[in-house]
Amino acid sequence: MTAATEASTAGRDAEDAVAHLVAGLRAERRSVRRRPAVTLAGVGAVVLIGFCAEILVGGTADIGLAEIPGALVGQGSGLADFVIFETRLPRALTALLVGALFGLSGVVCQRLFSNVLATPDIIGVSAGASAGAVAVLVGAGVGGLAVQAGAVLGAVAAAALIFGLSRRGGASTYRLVLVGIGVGACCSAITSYLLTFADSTTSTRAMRWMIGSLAGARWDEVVVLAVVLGAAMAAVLLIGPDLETLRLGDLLSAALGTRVQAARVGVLLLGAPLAAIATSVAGPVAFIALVAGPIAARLLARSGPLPAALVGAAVLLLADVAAQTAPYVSPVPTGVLTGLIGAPVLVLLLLHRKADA
Amino acid sequence: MTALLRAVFAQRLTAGHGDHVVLEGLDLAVPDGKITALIGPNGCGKSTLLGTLARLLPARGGSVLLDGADIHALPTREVARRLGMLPQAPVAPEGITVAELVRRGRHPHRRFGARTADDDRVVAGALLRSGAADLAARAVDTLSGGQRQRVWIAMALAQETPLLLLDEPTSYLDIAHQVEVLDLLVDLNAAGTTIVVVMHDLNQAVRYAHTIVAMKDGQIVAAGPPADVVTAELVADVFGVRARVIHDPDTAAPLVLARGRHDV
Repeated sequence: MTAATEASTAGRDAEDAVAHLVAGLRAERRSVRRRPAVTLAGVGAVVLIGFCAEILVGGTADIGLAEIPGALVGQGSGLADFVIFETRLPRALTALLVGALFGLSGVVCQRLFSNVLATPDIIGVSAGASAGAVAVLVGAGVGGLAVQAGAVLGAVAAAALIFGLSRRGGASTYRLVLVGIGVGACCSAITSYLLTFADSTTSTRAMRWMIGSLAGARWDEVVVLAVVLGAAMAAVLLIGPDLETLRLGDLLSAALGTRVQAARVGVLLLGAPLAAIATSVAGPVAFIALVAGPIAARLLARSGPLPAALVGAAVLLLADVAAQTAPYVSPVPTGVLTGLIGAPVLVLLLLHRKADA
Repeated sequence: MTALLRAVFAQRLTAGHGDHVVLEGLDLAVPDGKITALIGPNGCGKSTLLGTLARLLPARGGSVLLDGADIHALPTREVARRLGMLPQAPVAPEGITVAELVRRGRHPHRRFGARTADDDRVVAGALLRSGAADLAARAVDTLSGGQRQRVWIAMALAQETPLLLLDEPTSYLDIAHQVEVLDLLVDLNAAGTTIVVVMHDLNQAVRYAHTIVAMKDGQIVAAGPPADVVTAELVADVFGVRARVIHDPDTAAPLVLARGRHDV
């Protein structure tokens, strides 16, 4: 055999090996994807069931099954229309959208800082929202949109403070979580201080808002939430690949051509306001942002922002149904139940967390 | 002259971390198509130099020229298509598989977030060349140190850059895996990749590099072919350790024997 034919045989062998491996990689990817597709459909089914349950059993009013289809589009009788179209449907939609927004903002922040604890509800952004909302409730004595504006302002101010402080001397996610807990504690103290000035009606309203409740959901809020969620989904799809490389750390993601600082700021500008807007409508519903991402990851082996949004919606819908119908405790604000479920999940996460991450 | 055009130049380069200046007015020309080893004691600025050459750290003064163009004027993605960089002890995201990690190397080649059929071929080729093909479906966190290092190198290969910078790729590896990684670098270089590598083992640097750049206190003390650069005087000057330099009986390359206080 001449050297030339030997070389061409070797070349062909190498090509065969590449082709073989390419086929293997593709087969592997297909099989890895099949399971998430099935599981995602399952989570979707849970969302649907939760949504139907909200419509059917939410609240105490007795509406006949036959009346529901008409009332869903606002064409039922007076009472059915009020209960279904004006109360339960917006509440179900709000639960769906707020859950998805919390799930999305949580997972985006977790990815950004490579830390499961770096979600808006843990690092003090939600506490900032509470302080802002209570300041409006107590200081101005008004409700509605002004409270929401206060919550968004408070959340954004807290987020700016946290990221500003933790950036000094190079950002570290550990420092971010600690600074966040500190800022959160300050915000809680401000909230408590403000509440000492409030009369009993105002403080009851404030407490209810701070626990997080979906009661009193309105159509105009649903529209705002839907628009925000749609825009956020589009943004997440756009920055998805950069978010993935960011998990490799600053140095490597920069080496792979990601503009790290720009991506960071972009994700922050996305994540914190999402949580703030969801919080402004439903109050700081505990733990949804924290648990949605990890639950999606556990269920799907690999997770992204969209599965986390779906899981967030499922969790909040189920919690809200339970909050309205569970024996002994109902009706309670939804945040009480998500807290009851979420706190043990947080402990489990901490126990199972890898030391290096 | 054309060969020089593709190399990396540092001109009067000043860089550091935060307020701490590590490099001051440093000049360096990395020869094209060769393996260049950066050696020097801990904290002498090797990693800072590598990071600044790759634009991962900002230059405070002077400039870095990549293919004759100022690297800071190039788009980030363009730099990542021409220059690959593997930092020291990188950390993989939890639960990621080898194939997924290596695919991240295709990031600078993405267009509108889509992956192409070509990506699969490049990833497969990178896995085969680095000897990590049979690990493709494994989770990175289940691998041994040597396997992991091969996977990271495969990721850098998938980036398909004509220039590759590696920061201590053989740290934490046993001797067999060290030789394996270094042989891989020689293969890559033979296929046309210019390599700059930070190394701690002087004898390995001598054995595998065409050019040695010795650094001390943020300055380049000597640069050139191993046989010219690595002498007992240089080792004493740069590392502050007494050494005897003999010749490798097989290759005649310089062989550094460090002498401690208890040696004769």
